[in-house]
Amino acid sequence: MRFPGAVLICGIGDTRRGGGLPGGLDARLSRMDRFARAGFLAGARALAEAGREPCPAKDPRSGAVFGSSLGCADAITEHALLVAAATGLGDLRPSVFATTVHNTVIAELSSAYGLAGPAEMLVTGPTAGLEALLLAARILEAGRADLVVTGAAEGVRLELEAAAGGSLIGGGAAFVLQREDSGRARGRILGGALFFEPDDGAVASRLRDELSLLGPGLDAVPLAPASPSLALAGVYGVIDALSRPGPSAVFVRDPAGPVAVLVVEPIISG
Amino acid sequence: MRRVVVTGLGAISGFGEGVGPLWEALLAGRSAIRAAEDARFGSAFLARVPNVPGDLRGETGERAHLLALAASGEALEGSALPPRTALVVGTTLGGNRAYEEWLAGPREAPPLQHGAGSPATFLARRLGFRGTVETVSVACASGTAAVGRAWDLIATGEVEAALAGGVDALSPFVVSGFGSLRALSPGPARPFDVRRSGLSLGEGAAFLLLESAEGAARAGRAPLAAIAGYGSASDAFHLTRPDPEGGGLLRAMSAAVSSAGLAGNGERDIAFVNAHGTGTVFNDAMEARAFARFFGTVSAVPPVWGVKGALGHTLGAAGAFEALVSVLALREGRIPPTAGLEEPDPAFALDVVRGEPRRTSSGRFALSTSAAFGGTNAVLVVERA
Repeated sequence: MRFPGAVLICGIGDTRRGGGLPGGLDARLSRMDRFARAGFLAGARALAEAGREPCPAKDPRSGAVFGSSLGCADAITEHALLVAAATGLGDLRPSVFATTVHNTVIAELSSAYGLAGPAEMLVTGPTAGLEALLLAARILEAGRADLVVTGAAEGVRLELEAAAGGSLIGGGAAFVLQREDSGRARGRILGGALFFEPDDGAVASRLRDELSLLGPGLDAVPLAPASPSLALAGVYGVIDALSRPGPSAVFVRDPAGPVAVLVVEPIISG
Repeated sequence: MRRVVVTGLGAISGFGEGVGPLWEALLAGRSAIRAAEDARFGSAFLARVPNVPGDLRGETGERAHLLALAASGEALEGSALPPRTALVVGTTLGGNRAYEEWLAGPREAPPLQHGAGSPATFLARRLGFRGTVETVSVACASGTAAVGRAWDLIATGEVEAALAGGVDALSPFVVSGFGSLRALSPGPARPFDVRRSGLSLGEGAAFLLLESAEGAARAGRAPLAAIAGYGSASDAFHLTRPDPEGGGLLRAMSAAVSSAGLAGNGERDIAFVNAHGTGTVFNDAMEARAFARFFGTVSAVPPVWGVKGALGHTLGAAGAFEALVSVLALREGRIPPTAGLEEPDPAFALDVVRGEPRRTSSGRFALSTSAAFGGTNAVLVVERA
């Protein structure tokens, strides 16, 4: 998919950088699991950078679209361990089960910021972060919203991390995408593609083919493979790409088969 | 935007394998919900798939994968698909049963194919997909969102065809979880009934084969119906409680009819609403309020019906089942009765179909609505072929 109209990146939030939260949101954070907290922190910081404050009024022209590979695995693990040890329903914690859905990040951001428009959550795997950006851009392009906060979040339980040899990385990274340039734009999304390729050896040629299908100009954009870090990989890759001159084609390949590629271009101010 | 048509359907449910047995049971007003008779599920009433085809010890150990394979196989039967056909799956837990079993065991290597995305990647490899493969998970609206995403991919020309649907399997994890929330009905669920007191859980998978109208015509496949639009919206209200005014569902309905080009007087051409209709006190009241607001007055709401009193709440599969039966109801001109409904709640004053099947009006369109935990709402517009 190509985005001939402007799809602008107007705010970036990244839990690796640290930083605070707008006032009044700390109590909300304390009830979330690690997954929701990571996504909420990233989203809130991106919204702050885009000039958006927490707001109880509902705005149907603003939405939230996120991606995750493991999603609410944190809450799932906690509830599953409680179920395994329980002798009756009284041993379970309803508040934990209520968070065993993957859309908690978009739910928390939506209720805190009044984002009452489109709401989507993708959990395909490591490609889900780039998928979320592509879908958010598509929603803007179709005129279904004026602002979408999008990105990826992962919360990783020790049980899974240990089994994976400590290689799993949690955290959150988010962008605010808008059609209108409010003077804060850091970059733009030019296009992207999603496909399934189980054969390792065929991925490079399929990437070229898919970029060619996007139209003239994008097939020559340098490829930028993202480092593996679940669904955060692609989103981190986009943040890196915005610090480089010229467009980049950030891509993520899930060993299970899905591949996502997103073409972004930085906007250098001044 | 290109016209998107439905050319194949597949299902496996509490009524067994196949769309035919499912539709026949719905028209007869039957319910697949029974007392669980399995100590792992306590006293819950569930709609379980009686026989899951396939070998759990073979290529996959995951019940959800086998359910998805059975339903998708029926939807694709006899179809030679374009090379970049997409696959979009909606689910809440995906391959979670394998993960639960791993947690309870010695926890050696992490379980393969256990994530939410695992049914989609399993199907893609097994069935040879090469186009977009995605998994969407917006709790109980996931199946609707999956069909909506596939509609958008085809309507915009990204792909020529897509297999879209939803799947979820029952497990002690989910049954005890809803039990802990005190959300389960002490008997089979009674959507929109004055005595409703909770939901009944179910399991299964439903898939729809969607294609561009031009592609289906070229391939000689007759459309069963069309998907004309999709919308989603947040309640922006509370993580588990629905907005009692139905604001999020109202916005999703408005977005869906707008995407279908129906906004304005087009609402009068809607033959029925297939509701989320869980049978919980709050959900059904919220939906009734949203419908009345959307159509202007309660008396303007077209006939409403639901299938969760028959199939149970199949979670991530529910919206796909509801899209599938909406296609059949428009195609056959008959709305099945809402199983479990005996005495409609007078507080709603809705015309909920019960007792016997009813002939549809001449309206060209139908709405299929979903409302999920987290306040995510999703709505499809289905159109006669």
